Formats: sequence, C-alpha cells, structure tokens
Amino acid sequence: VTTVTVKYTGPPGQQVPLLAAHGHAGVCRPDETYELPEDVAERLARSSRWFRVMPAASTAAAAPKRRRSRKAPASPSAPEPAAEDVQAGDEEDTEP
Amino acid sequence: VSRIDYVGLAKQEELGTAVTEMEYFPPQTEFSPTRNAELLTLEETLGDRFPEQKDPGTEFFEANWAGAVHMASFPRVASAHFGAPDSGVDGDLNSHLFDPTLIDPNDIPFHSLIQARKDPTPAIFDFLYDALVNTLSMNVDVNTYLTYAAAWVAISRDADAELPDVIRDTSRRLNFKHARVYVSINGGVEAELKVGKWGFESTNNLVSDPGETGILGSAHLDELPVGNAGCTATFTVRDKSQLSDYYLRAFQTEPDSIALRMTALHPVTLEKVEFKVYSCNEIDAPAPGSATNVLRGIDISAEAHKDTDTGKFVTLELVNDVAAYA
Repeated sequence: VTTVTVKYTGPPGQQVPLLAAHGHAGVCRPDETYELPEDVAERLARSSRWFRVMPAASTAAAAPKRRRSRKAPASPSAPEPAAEDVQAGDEEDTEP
Repeated sequence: VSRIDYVGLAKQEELGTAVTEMEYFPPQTEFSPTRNAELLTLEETLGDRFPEQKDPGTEFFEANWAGAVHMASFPRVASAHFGAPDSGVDGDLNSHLFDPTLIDPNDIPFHSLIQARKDPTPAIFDFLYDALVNTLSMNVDVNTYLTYAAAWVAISRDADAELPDVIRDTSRRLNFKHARVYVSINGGVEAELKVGKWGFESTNNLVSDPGETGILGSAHLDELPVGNAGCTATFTVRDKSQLSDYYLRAFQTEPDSIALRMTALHPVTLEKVEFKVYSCNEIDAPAPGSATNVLRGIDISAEAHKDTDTGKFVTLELVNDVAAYA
C-alpha cells in the first residue's frame, strides 16, 4: 500500500474518526503530520480544508493544489464545470 | 438526529462558488434542512373536479441548527450572520469580535453546508451553498449548556456533492455555571444582576421572498440581500429587591436605557463568550399572579437599538485558542 504524508493545518480541538481508524486516535495538533494510505489521505483532503497531502520530495514542483471548489451550475439541470475546477491532479479525486 | 449524524460548514470566497472541503463540523442537538419551493397554482375549469399537476416555482433552502456553543466552531457559524470577526491576541488566547456596525452587509460571507443523516445506508445528506444565517440566537438557563440556534437560508443545493468524512469538534462547551449578566441603567455604574437565564435573538431579515428578488428565466434566487438588523435580549431577573423595578420599566413612558453585558467565562481556560447590548428598552416583563407558583423571577424581553453615544448596536466576542476565522 502506498502511503503519503498528510499535514493538519487546522485549529486545535478537532478529532478525526478516519484517522483513529488508522491508528491516530486523539485530537489533532496543528502542523502534525500523519502517514496514511493514499486513498485515505485523499478522502481526508477532500473532506476538510485542514488536511494537505504533502508532496513527495521528487515531485514537489508539480504537486497538485489540494484546494477544490465547485462553481454554481448555470442551471440545475445542466451543470457545467468551470475552468478553474479543472486543476492539475484533480483526476486523483476519483474514488478508487 | 442520532449521534452518528453530523453537519459541516465552510466559508465561501464568493457567491456561487461552493466549497466542498469543510472547515468545521459543529455538533448539533438537531438540524432540519427543508426545501422552500413555490408551486404554480392556477385553477382552471376542466370538466371534472380532480386536481391537475402543479409545476414547481422558485426554490430556496432553509436549515435550522440547534446545539451547544463549541468554542472552536461556533465563530464560523456566527460569521455567517454578523460577518467576519476582528481577531487579535488576548493573553494566551485569541479574541474574535463580531461588530455588525463595522461590517458592510454585502461582505457577510456565504457558506457551504453539509447535513448528513447516517442511520440509513446509503446516508441521506444535503449539500447547500450560498447560505447565510438569518436569525442567530443564544441561550443559557440554569442546568444547561450555553446553546445556540441558527436559521440558515441557502440559495442553492448540489445534488452531486460527495459526503465528506466527519471531523469532530471536541472544543469546550460553556455552561450555566460560567454565565453572568452585568447591567448599566441610563449610563450608570455597571453592576452584576442576579439572573436565572440570559439569551438573545439577532436577525438579519434576509430577503428571500421570490416576489422581491426572483427573476424571469430562473428557478433560483440569484442574491440574498441582507435586510434590517434587529435584536431582542432576554433575561430572567431573580434579584428579589429588583423585581419591582424591572416590572415597572415595561410601563415607562420615557423608558430607561439598559446596557447589558451577558457573559460566559471559563474560570480556568479563560475561554469566553460575551454578548453586549449597548442600549435596549424593556418591551415585556410579565408578572402573573398564581395560587400555586411563587413569583421568584420575571422574564424580561428588551429590544436593542443603536446607542447614540457609542454608535454601537450589539457585539459578540468569543475568546478561544483558534487564531482566526478569515
């Protein structure tokens, strides 16, 4: 299983059940890092603004920007992705 | 709502741009998302007495949240009502001051909300965005935690959103043992008043009536204007020597100006919630007689107005260990 490093950048007092399921029980501390399977790290990064997948050293320059936003569709029946939604690495957001 | 359910929220950078990565998941005692959709009603002569299908009209969404004030996540909720707080260092902690008189109503940030009911499989959840808090209330009573209720109005719902994984907010809750009220009458010396509870309800009077903001060609509101501000403070006077004074104030033809400072301060951590009303007048102080109940308190309702001396209306300050809510 490929593991990656995830950094917590949020406020104190937050506890993550998904982390607890992977051996990191307790409250997250700011700037704490966790080694997690890649799919778990992706889930965390998709769920919370406070988790950032740290780029591997060799690919740091091409690291994907983890912040994602969704533009309002022009109409509810015809969603149209906005240009800024398509960021490098967004294809990694697909659930395995 | 069961314990497995959760809500989450995140501040948006702009109207129309939802944020799928949540910031806080404030624990709730209950929440209730609803769709508010008009139906196009046109009665026509049909030759029989049975109803026809009605087409949906303009829709928007509402969500009522109720829960204890958790010191880390609550300011994020409050910022969707009062606007962004002014944050600064306060000793070892950080202070976040919400002052609606310093905020352009157009700058109150829209938020994205997730509301998940996890008992069914798959879970039921609503992802709403372009949301503001219309009314925000806070209350503390004897033997209760400091609680709040937020009535959200949201323009949009994303049916294709994914359900995020929850992050529990385990930050502190304050309770009635930490709560106090301080009063100043007509600019006099501030003194503590013995009370049985305190609370307030603040409203932005958001304009969500499609008749006022709807546009042809769209089934959605394209804006959510902030209307007039309003605030009512409530407290239950328990001081026997002052019950008569507070009762009589509701009848004054030249009403006293009451300045209130309603606080909850943790004695060890120094985390604090402080709601200040710079000037208000009593509007209700019932004192019913009863053959079975002893009159040991009067529930005061007072309407806040902008104080002409300070130029202030109300402020809400929270002191916690979070750096900022920008």
